[in-house]
Amino acid sequence: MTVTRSARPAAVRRRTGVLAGLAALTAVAFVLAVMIGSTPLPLGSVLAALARDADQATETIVWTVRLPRAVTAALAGAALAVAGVQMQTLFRNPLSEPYILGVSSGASLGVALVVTGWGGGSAGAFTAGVAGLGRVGVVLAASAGAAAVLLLVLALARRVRSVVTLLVIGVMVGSAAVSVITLMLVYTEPRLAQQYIAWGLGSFAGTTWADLAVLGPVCVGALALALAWMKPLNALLLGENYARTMGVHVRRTRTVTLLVASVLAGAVTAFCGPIAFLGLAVPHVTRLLLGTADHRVLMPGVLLLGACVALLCCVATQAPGSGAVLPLNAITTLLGTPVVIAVLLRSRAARMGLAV
Amino acid sequence: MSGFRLHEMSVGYPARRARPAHRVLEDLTATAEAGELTVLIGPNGAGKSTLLRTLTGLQPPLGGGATLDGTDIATLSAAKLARRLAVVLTERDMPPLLTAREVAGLGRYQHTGLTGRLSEADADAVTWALDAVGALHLADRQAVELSDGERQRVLIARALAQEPSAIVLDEPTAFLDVTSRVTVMGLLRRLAVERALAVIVSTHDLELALRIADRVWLVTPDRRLHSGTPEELTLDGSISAVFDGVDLAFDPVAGVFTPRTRTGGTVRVTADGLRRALVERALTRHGWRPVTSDEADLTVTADEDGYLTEYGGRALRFTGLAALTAWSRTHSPTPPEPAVPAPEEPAPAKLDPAALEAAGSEAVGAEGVGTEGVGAGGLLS
Repeated sequence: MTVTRSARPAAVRRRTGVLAGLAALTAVAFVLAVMIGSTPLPLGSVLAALARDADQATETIVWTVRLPRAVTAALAGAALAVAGVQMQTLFRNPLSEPYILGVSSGASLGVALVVTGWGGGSAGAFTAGVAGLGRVGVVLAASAGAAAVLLLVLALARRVRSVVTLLVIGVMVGSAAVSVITLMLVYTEPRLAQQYIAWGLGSFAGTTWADLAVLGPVCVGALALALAWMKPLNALLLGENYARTMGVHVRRTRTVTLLVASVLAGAVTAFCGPIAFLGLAVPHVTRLLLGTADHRVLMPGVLLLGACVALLCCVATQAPGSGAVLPLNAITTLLGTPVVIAVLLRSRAARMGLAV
Repeated sequence: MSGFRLHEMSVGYPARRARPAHRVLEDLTATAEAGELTVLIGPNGAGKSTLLRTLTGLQPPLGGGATLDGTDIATLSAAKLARRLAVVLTERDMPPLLTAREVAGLGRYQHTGLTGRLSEADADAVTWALDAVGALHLADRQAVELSDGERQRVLIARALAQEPSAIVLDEPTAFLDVTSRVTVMGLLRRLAVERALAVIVSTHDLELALRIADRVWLVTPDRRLHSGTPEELTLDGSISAVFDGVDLAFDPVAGVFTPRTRTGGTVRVTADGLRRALVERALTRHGWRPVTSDEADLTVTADEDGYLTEYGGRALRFTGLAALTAWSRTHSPTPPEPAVPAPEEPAPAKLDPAALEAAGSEAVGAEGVGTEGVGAGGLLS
């Protein structure tokens, strides 16, 4: 019997191939997201505009609208998907992700507290009026709100083992946060309340370069930390007790992972609104594509596929013909719902753990 | 000083708010040597898991302490302890989409760098560990798809891949079928000897444990720990004292539990070897006591046509053993008085463990000759 020393070469080839494919697909999706909008631009003029070699109108569209939107989508998708993987491993629950467990709602609450408290807000998205240091303040508030919900849900999750119970708890916590926001909005100006509703539908289009100057470094930093901290997550796949006996500092790992997931979900929510289901669907699809739950392969894959899917969703929000922009969460929910149902059906058979 | 040394250790749960500290086991002093299989047995809920959790550093001792290879476990960081001690827990939920090799590879946690990438030496250690437990052919299978026994072997391989000097296993044979149980215990004993590991296993499988263990840690209902060879603990009556119940009694010679029946009538069976043993076993189950004297209440003689019985002056013929067994159930004479739940034969004179230790191992053999306990000892050799 010939037994290879490490994993089968076929499996390794497949993983490398999938990762390379995802990278290429992400690049294509990025270009598509820049090309397609209310006025579709041909590839040639996009490249010319990028080289600062096109007419004034095209350059303005590409540089002030399309590029910030595409960069935001890529960052947000990667951030939410990575936060999803972290939460799924930490909770040992396949339905964990920022939106479902109410973490995004917690972030929204943090944002609402800051925005209504300052009475700010001028036009566009809910948080668009906040400038300068205020942006950092919003990100901090959103992350704090996300972390508060995560801690609460984690404390409850340690008492329940059932996948479905945790899901219900998450929905309840999220609803409670939304109710608090609604109550707060009663006491603010109607214009602000309307902006909140629009912001709640989710959008990658509201960010400017000034916003990206905050969102970019925060996301990249948190993603880098997530990639550097994935070794203990592998040990956690066998459960906290096993991880502890392998010498993993479980409490520290949990704290860092929760912190990173909160910052990722919080920062994205602050600028794009609560984005549904990206954090849930992407990790499951990536696991199936790569055929492994090993975070060393999974994390880069999730990061790429998250960016890719968010960019494609961004493209899909441009309703063909009419020039109208569809709500982003409508698209992501349509994408995520089948995945949730599939996970629930399969996790009944698998009882618990990371199904799919 | 290799292996585990418990020194006046108390285990349990510390005081919390209104509740006082709950000491599950107290004043434990015992050893588990490297190269030996130590088996932890005791009644349900006696605190075996609590003791193992304390030994593996998952919870702190309430008093005293334990050393591993001469170092106090409490002074070791989790990372340092993981380089010396590997653990197999009762949790057996395998993560989906990991191969058996990847699960075993998790044992290299302390040996790999920041990224957790396995070097060639790490990969070799994993392959060796899988080979040592006879699971190399499972390496590329999905861990969730393995049977319970295969899964357990992969988890033991993961423990071996840590390259520890001791392994602690909590109920590794629970939920396994009989063959897998024997295989796993045999594997652990072989690993202990071949790799000079101190192996501590808790189990409910008392009969197997007494056959295969080098040393037994017996948790008693009075929250103590008796430590000794299986033969010592059998001879001094500790095993019987803990496990004998109203319905079951430990047979020290055969090393098995037998149902304690209310013997009412006596039976003399005339048949060839195996057949006689089986008829006697079947009748014993229904309250008959096999005897060899002629003055039995019931006589059974096996011949080609079945079983000829004589009972109360009447002769009856049964074509099969099942029919005979069914008849014997309804005709078992009621016992004259309820059986007392105490060992029938007087326990042999208690051996003083200290005196034994002083006299050396040969004295144990000499002391054992002539007593029935030596039969159990003979099974081991």
